[in-house]
Amino acid sequence: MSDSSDESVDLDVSYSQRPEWSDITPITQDEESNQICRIAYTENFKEVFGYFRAILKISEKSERAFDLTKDAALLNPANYTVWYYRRILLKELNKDLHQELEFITKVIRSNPKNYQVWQHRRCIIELLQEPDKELNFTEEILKRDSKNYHAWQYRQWVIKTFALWDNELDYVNDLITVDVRNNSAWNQRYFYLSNKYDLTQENEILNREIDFCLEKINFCIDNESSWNYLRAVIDHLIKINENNYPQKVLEFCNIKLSTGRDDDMSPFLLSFKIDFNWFRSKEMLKKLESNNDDVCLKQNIRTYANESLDYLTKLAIKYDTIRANYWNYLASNWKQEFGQYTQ
Amino acid sequence: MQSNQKELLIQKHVDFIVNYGKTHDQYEYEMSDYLRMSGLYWSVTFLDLVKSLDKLNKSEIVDYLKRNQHENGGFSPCDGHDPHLLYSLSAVQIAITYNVLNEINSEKLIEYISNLQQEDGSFSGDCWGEIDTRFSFCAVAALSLLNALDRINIEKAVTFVLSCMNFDGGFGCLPGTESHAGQIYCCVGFLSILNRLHMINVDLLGWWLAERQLPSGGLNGRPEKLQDVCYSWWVISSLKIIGKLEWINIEKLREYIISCQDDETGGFSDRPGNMPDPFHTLFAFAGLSLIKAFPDALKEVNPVFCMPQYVIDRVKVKPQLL
Ligand SMILES: [Zn+2]
Repeated sequence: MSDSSDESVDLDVSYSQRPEWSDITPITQDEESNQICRIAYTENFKEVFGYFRAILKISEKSERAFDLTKDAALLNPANYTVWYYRRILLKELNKDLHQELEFITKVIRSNPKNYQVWQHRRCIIELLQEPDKELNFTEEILKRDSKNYHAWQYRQWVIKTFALWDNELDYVNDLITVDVRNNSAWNQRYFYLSNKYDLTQENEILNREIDFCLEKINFCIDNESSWNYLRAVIDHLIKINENNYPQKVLEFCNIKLSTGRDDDMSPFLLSFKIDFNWFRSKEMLKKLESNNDDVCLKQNIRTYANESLDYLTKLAIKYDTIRANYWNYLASNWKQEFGQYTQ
Repeated sequence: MQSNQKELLIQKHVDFIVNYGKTHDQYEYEMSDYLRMSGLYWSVTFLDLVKSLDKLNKSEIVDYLKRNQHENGGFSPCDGHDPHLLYSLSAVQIAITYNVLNEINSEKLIEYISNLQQEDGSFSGDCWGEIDTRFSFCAVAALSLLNALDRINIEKAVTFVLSCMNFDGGFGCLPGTESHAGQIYCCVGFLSILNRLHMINVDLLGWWLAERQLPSGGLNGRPEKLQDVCYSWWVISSLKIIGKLEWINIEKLREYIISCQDDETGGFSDRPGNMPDPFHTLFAFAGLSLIKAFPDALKEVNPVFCMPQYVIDRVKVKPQLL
């Protein structure tokens, strides 16, 4: 469940044997009073937290209290009270924050999936106002687990707070090159894009993103992340360009669809084309309202509907059977909306 | 039921939960002692769903609740810890399930929760300022159970949660953070309680959620992650709330959940063969209840609160379902 710490706490001399702690009576937890909350503690844990509670109760601000929070934090990095009290002591005792940064670096390395440790780091950086090493540090952690949510959240905070946007696109590019399915990296790409640019204006940037997506999709077609990103970019683009669908995307899809190879028949490709067909057919339906006799429009709707229904059947029975109900639902939408044109 | 189907060993799971804390591994337990109040909620809810709530000592639990209400109104997870919104919700859920709200100081608790709302509408988890859409959910879930939603700024709360909606239709814990099934459950549940489900792009989100189902039948929490019983619950409860539960393969999900049952010790784990724990045991049963897998053995669960439906009916709370 939690990552075991390699900064393990081995008490050479237990607190109760240390003369400098003899004036403190540890506060033990009221364990026996409640069957449900009976906790089997190890001796180290019991001892350290017994002394910690005692220190907390009298709000002792001392070097020994500071050292104690280190043992307590290492024994249970998820205990937010310990970190909180440690920060009070840092300030109160005027401790060297660079040293603290080194300490929390080690702790995060052994407990990278714990919220409190990242929060502590953030507090230290806020005090220091020195973000220089932070991007490198998160990269180090993300190198070991490229989806670590805490590390990403922290990185976004650093970038936003200190305006460190310059190299982010390169970093994201690298990550996507290494693993094109890294959804966190695609999300970060969108984070970068939407914070850096006004997406209701940037035709050129959005087009650059489309090229990027198509290249990545061409490399790996069955990749949810790149398709989702592509859809988002297109949404912005067609708002700028009055519903003009980027032609290169359609050409790309049609080439893939025409190969007839099963490998190319990704559910994401098919569903993308089906959604495009829907978008177009709805447009034509609108035009039909004012010109009900346009045979050409009706013929086009028919082509789109037939193609979509064909793909939806294939998705349900062959390419993505586990979500057959979803594809059947879309098919029923098509029949309901455009059924009269398919006869 | 098919004849080759693995049996659901309810009695073993009840024993597993009732004895948990007496027999478990020491290290794991002390590391998670900050979760104790939530652990109690998982156990209570599980036992109620399988009609065995009498296996726990009610007065001890009421006692435990009372002891862990801090003077500021919030609840701490265990003796010696600070209060937090997460455990305050767990405490309310336990109190409501046992119908003992009068035993805790509700007024103080309401005050504690509403004071955690920030200027931008978000909620911090405690007095130290961690912000997360999870806490928005905890706050409105607890307040709705306490019939006190009028004590916060609902419009601002909604605005903040919506600012965490992503381009893929999902939600993250802060604006810009990656969509994640656990956060989606919180945000969808939040919008359901506040009757704002129309703010969601249901088709986009529903598809994203349906994509979480893997060939094993289990569901993951993000693309390219492994399936997990707890994520299965968060995904299917969200799908249920937005009315798209049938988009996934229910039968395969049922098989997956059952495959995570530990036949020896009782309890469920995240994946077949792993160590069982109360957390995954509750979410396994909540999932089975939601998909009506064993309707005779299990009570109906409410997808928003993850509590028995009869309890939610009793307090007359009606979260929106599409
Ligand atoms: Zn899990």
